[in-house]
Amino acid sequence: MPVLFMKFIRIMLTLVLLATILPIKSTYAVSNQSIISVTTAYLEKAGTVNMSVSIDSDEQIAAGSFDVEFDSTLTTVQANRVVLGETVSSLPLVSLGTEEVGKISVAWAQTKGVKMEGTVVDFPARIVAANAGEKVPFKLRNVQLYNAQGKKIPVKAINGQIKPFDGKETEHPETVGVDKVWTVRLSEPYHLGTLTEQAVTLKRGTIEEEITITPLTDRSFQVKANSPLRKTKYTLEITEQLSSANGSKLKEPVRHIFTVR
Amino acid sequence: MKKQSVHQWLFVVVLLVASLFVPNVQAATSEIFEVGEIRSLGKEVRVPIVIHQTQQLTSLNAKISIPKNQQAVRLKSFEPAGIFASKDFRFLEDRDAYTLSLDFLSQAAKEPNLSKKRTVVGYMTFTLTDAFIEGTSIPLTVETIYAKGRNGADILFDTLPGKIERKLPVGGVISSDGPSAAAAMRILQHVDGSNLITEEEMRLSADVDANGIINQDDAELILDYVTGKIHSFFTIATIELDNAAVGGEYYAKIEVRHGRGPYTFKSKGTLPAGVKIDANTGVLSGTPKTARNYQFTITATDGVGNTTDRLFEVTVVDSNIIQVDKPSTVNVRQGEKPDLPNRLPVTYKDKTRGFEPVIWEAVDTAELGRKLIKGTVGNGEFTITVEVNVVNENYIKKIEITKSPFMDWHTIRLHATSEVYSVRVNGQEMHHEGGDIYNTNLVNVSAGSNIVFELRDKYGNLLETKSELLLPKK
Repeated sequence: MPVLFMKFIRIMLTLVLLATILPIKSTYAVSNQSIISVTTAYLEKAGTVNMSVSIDSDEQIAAGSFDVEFDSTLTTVQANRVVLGETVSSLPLVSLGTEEVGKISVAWAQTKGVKMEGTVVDFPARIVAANAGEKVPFKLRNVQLYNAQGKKIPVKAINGQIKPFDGKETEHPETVGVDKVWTVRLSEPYHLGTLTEQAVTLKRGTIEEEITITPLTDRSFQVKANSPLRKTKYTLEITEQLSSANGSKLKEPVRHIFTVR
Repeated sequence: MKKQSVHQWLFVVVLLVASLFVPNVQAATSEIFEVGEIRSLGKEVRVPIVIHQTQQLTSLNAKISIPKNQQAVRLKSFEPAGIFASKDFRFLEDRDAYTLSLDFLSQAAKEPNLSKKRTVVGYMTFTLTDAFIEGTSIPLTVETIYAKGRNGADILFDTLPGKIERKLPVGGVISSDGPSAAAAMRILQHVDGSNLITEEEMRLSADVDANGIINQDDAELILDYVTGKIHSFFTIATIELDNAAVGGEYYAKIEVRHGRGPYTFKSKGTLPAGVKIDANTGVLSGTPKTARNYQFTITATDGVGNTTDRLFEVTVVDSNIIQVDKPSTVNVRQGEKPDLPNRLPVTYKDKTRGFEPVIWEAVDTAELGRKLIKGTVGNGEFTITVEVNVVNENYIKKIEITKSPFMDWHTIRLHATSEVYSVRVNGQEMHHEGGDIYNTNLVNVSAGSNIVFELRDKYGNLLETKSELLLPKK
């Protein structure tokens, strides 16, 4: 009996976290599609959340643009705190528009196409007490990516939101070591482009740890903190930003709480 | 004493009442109902209907039409936008392929507050057929407009009719849909020389600041337009003004591009004494009185309130030459030397006419585009500019002029490149005889006089103006 239980625990340790991704469809048709996504963050009460728009593309992108629209009566984004992300900030030609209330727009151009992976724009979004508990969508509009020939590149836009956590929460039955590496196994292949630091986070309280995410197979990946963990409680979170290879979103977000010994 | 006090009170009351009315009158004149002016080479186009300077609205009823005697454009649909698509307004429409009647009625307990200087009412979608020829346009006429604002008071809109032009949109460059990040990319490729923009229509679409040169500034403006940092490419296209002479007639026009007419112009700073600006046309004219250097800023405002300005400098000289006939634009192939006139007709102080030599500054023709080249006339007191257009190829291959042995006319044949769509000579349309050759018979011209050719592309863009001395061969 103890042996069987230990085996069960080991399975849990390798984290069969995941969480059915539905529905099951053909997998490879859109697996290389470029992706632009907005953070989905969980917030139960009033506060400020760091949001970002990320891009992941194997295509050679020479120019692009998009708008992020949100309800300015539900959330506040200060224009002077909207900053360009690592993928575009060093480009010679990029424009960031925040003039219109409830809208952030980014456009960039260069002469040659490059593969892009990382954040395009970062911004803190504040939810006041009166709106705590509301779902606040951040919708991507007018998303356009172009190659160096001026042809449009197909792109999948994943909207984000701020909302109270409404997924599956589990607590790890044992304490773990400071160098714990989590292996996450999925019930079906995932879309590599959506396996980003927006989709997978490791938090100590509200502090987000820097992590390295390593794909293992088409159904599994590893998560490891870049620095040794402290002896306290952590939350490993996987949001709906992670999608299956056929483009379906995660059925529900997953939180796995564990304690470091 | 008491009587005087009553009078003072009455006066104050009258002033107060009057002041209540004045702002209403001003507000009524500044409210604008605008139908968009859109360019497209595509199969479908969306034209916005916009109201300006309108704070509150309880009802809006408008009828917009396109001509029925044409096959080029058909009205397909109308889609209300923003607050006009919300439950604040009840919306009814009556539409056929040529006419759209809109009827918005406020459903809110209080008048919906538009709260913006510019509010989009909605978008009309038109289908553009193969019969819509490049370079032509279809007018969008505002037939009727009735609106009521706060407390049911009439709003007297000024109307700006729209049009759909069969041209490449400003800032579109490679797209009929308008400015895009791809257009900015294409401009950067032109700037680094890897993919030159040579076709005139595409060049005009790319040169959004209308300074004659396609550079990174144009790409930046296009990206700023895409992200909503700017809403218009409205700009003053005149880069420099010619210098002037005391006692000579001065004439210069401030050219604007990419705005909505009508335009108004005003100056700040010191205009040359004796020179005035026409507020409606942007023409500077008059007889300069005092020799000195003048600096002033011209501000242009378009029909929907966009403004643009530019600083100019004009030097007025006291010279024996009071006027120089400005030469027309000269086309030159990239990397070649332009054929600029070495003397120009002038008017002297005593009003007599003559010719004076000109020394032109060096012309760098390494880069495609429009350049202003300065020339010094006569003894060096008077300067003039000529526009040099550096092009990818010569649009004129050959000109043949033959004098008729029996009649008083000259037969003129012009061999052009395939980009040329129409040619005029001395204002007279030349006949296209096929194979990029144009001909006409020109009467009442004599040997030694200049004849002027104007070549245009299929969009109506001026490709080249060429002056040719008539030396007929018999």
